[in-house]
Amino acid sequence: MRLATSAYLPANQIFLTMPEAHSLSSAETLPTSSTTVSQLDLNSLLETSKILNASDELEFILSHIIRTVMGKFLLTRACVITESYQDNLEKVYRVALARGLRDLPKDFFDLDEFAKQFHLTLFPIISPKREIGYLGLGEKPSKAPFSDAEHKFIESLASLAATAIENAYTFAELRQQSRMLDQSVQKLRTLLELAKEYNVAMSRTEILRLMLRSISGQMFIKSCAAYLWQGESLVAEACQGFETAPASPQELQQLFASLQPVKLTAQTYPELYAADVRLAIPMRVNEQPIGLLLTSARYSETPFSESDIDFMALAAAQAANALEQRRLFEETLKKQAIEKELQVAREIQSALLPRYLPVIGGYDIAAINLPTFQVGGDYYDAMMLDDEHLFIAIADVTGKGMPAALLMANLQASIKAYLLSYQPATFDLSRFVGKINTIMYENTPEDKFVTFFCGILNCRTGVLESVNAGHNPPYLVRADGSLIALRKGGVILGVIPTLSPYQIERVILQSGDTLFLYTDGITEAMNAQREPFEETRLEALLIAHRSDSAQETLHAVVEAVQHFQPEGEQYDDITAVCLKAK
Amino acid sequence: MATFTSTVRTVGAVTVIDLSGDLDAHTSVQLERTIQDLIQKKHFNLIINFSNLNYISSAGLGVFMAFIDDVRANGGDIKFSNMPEKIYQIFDLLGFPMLYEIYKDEREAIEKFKTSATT
Repeated sequence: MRLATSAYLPANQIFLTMPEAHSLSSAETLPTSSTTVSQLDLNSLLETSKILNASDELEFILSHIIRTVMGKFLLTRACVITESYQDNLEKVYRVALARGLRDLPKDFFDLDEFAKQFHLTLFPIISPKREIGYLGLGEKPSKAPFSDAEHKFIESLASLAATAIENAYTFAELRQQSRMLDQSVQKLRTLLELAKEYNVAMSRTEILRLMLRSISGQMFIKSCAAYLWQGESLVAEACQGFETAPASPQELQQLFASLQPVKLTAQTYPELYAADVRLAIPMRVNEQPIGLLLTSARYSETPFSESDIDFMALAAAQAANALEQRRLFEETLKKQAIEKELQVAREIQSALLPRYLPVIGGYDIAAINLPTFQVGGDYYDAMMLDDEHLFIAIADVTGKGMPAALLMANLQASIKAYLLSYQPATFDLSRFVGKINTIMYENTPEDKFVTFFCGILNCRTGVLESVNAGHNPPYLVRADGSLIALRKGGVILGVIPTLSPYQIERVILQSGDTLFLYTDGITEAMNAQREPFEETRLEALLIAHRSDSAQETLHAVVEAVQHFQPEGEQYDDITAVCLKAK
Repeated sequence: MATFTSTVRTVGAVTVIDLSGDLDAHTSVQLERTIQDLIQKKHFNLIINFSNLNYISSAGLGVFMAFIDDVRANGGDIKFSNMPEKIYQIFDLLGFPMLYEIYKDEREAIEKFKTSATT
């Protein structure tokens, strides 16, 4: 390409200048005839052509042209002016290279005025493709105007230069484009590497620091900082280059509201601008802003291009996603830990409930415990203390999960320990409950308590002694359909020391009577309208099913409660013990 | 992937860090710690010798950005030497030669520290 141009252009020039070639003058003098171009001029043009076409460097080309004309015409001042169009299509001129001229404006609009001001003669530089600019020449030492021949020579030179300049421009543009392409590849590589690198094992700070490091390296940025939203304020969680992270709560808040990258100015964000912040990039997860990336200017002071801002926005979004992944991962871990705890609590709870119910002649006994997902603190027990005495109990401890399960375990252990030494002749149910209360009071925190009911039935006589410590009163439903609630006893367990003895209630179970113990999971069950199941519904059910077996009665109650609640919703444990005298 | 290592050695008043392997997002943390450590021990005349480095990513470049101001504020400098061509291209592409002195040879860089110390 370059060879072809250099072969073509001189031929063109020779053809143009041939008619005058017959009147060659001496080598030392300038052409005397206005219509003559000397052999020297031709040689000079040929040489220029070779030199120009051998170079892609604009600076070199321009300085060669200027040197040639200055040397040839003994000029002290010369320049090359290029022209281009502004965004508003106005033509703007720029001095690309100058020698011997001082105080030149960088850009100007009025070419004639410029030529007049600096006493320049202008020669257009036109390539086959476009008008490039002008060669501006100062006065000759003789002050004489340029002759026709000189004009011809300079025009030829300008014409030669035009193609070389054009080539140099194209080459520079290509080089620039190739560099930009390389930079884009580097940006992509960085984003890919980050995508590969971020993982849930990295801490928040590690994620943010890696983002800052990669951006500052890629963008050649002095300082940057990452702000994350924490509750009510934006907090600088990572910072590089800044001595301390720039802070202006109001301006940060304003930037945080922006969904797009913002270039800061001294007018719009005075405090952050004063702290060297020039760019703010939102950090978002699924369109939800979670933080801000702030950066200073580059070391090179070159402005950020659209592609640069895109890169930073992508890197910020990537880091935001990595943070979100990490948060979700932590949440899953927490859930798993809670699930594990609940599992253990469930195991403890179920281990505390009696595995088998005693089989007693003349009586029919059944029990049920339906824990919720969260594991409540319901407890029941039914065991033979000797050949004729049956101990039954029901309790509801405050709270859910592990604390409730442990409190329940404590209660159960205390009961078992006291009942190990059961002697019917000396046993005092009131003292027994009092002692249990003391243990609960001493071993539980203030906000924990237990509602408790227990009784001992003499299976031979049907006498039932019971104490109610704040529990939902169990029902005794007589065969005739009358009903009494067993309320006598005292305060709930674990809140105050036993000041006065618990009162004992005495009833006699007769054939056809039903004793029903339950927890508030039954009476406080809610329907879709948020109405509780309540005691009246339970009482009616118990009366209606008084002739059924213990198991059938339990089943009817549970079914009624479950039917009452919206499907799949159970707020509290459902626990009940049903004892029937045959 | 080549394992990344950064070894520190002292040449007179200058500390040279020899890099080898790949300096990427993952390994840049390691280099950051090394330089942090040197700065804490008041080593401010640092030369990074790249002769055995295979690859550098933006995160790797970011490590140098993080310390240059600090080091210069303490009268020191971070100079680069022995860069393989492909490593230099990346530095050049992102504009680093503007801010950092890059020498062909480690000795040249050491000399530069000496002359700047005496003037």
